[in-house]
Amino acid sequence: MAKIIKDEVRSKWQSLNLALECDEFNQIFKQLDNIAEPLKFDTTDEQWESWQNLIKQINNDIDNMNCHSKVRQRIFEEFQLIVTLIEEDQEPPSQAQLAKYLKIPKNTLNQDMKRLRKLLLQRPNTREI
Amino acid sequence: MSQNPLERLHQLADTMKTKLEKVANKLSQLPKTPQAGDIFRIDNQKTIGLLQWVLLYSQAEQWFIVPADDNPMTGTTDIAISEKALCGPLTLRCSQGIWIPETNLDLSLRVGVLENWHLYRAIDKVKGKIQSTAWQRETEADPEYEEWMEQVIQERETLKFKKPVVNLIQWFQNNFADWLELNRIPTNLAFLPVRTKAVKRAKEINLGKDYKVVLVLDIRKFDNENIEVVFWLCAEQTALPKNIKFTLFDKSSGIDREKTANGTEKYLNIKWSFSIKEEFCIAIQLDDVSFTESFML
Repeated sequence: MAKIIKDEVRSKWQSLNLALECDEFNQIFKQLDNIAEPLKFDTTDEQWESWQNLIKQINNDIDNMNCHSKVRQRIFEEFQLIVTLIEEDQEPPSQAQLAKYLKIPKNTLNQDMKRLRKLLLQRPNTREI
Repeated sequence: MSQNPLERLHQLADTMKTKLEKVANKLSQLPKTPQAGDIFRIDNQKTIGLLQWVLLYSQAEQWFIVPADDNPMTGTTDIAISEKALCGPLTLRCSQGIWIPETNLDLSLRVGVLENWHLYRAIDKVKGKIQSTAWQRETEADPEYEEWMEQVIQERETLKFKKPVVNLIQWFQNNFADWLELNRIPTNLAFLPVRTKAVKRAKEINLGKDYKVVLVLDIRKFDNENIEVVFWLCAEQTALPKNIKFTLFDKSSGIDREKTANGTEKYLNIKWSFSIKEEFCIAIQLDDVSFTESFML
């Protein structure tokens, strides 16, 4: 009986953790979307250039990350997907859907998102609005 | 609770009506000349109307246009426009662009317009500045996508406008099409040492950024089989710009003859002899703008 209760508590705790972890991807998405969204109606040359520069800077930051090249490549792919979703004005998928689509474990994706969010926080123009 | 299908149909019809009204309103506010971001249909007897065409940028009275369709499959060189956009959903096939003369665009067939955001995305895609995603790379290998792109390419090929070839034999029969007498060109060409007994005609060529040059031909018959042509490239202003290239391609012999201005010449010339039925062309290139004109005897 005690074992069953323990297992139930553990599984609830895990699902709570997972729900909290899901926020990582959504927060990155929202941070970038907050910058892009107002530009979609009436962009000027300068605004488009500054958006493109921001993406380039983050790509450079990913290039300079202190981790294995395979991890860098994976984070680069994940970031590219987020940018494409935002630029195409699409609804964000859940982190679980994203992991399934990218064919990587949810935990791995979550770790990558945490790393990516750290990078974004270093850029003054991508801090939460 | 699921919606009644009829209600859903009414809702869709209303949404479509509102969208069409917005497009019509936007189109009525546009200038009466083609603009970057405009979406056109192009009438052509050979096409099956699969595609619309989006104008991206122009140079020397030519537009670079890319095909757009409503197939959602997006490859590595495509740009997806979401349904939230005024004329979305659309997929722009950015690797299939072609140049067409502005005169081939009929304003009554302007059917929509892209927001700047999407226009910039498409231009950057054409220039290779936007990376593709893993999903797009997968789609590219999908046979269904390949099949669709074959149809796009097929329709695009029917739109490749061939500039008419200038038949110089007709000049001896006083048929000059859009080539003008030298004194009817706004640029003063009195300084040009053209041959007095030759047939001479000229044409102004716009090389973009309001820069014009004049192409002059003087042609003389040797006999019924051979003629001698002198091609002159003249500056509209004081001198030809440095590095402008003037090239003659003799298609029959495969020989090229090229001259490049050093920034001081008022004109460049190339003299060549041709026989009946020979084809050749002249190319003028200034930085990334080029102009070609094909001739035959």
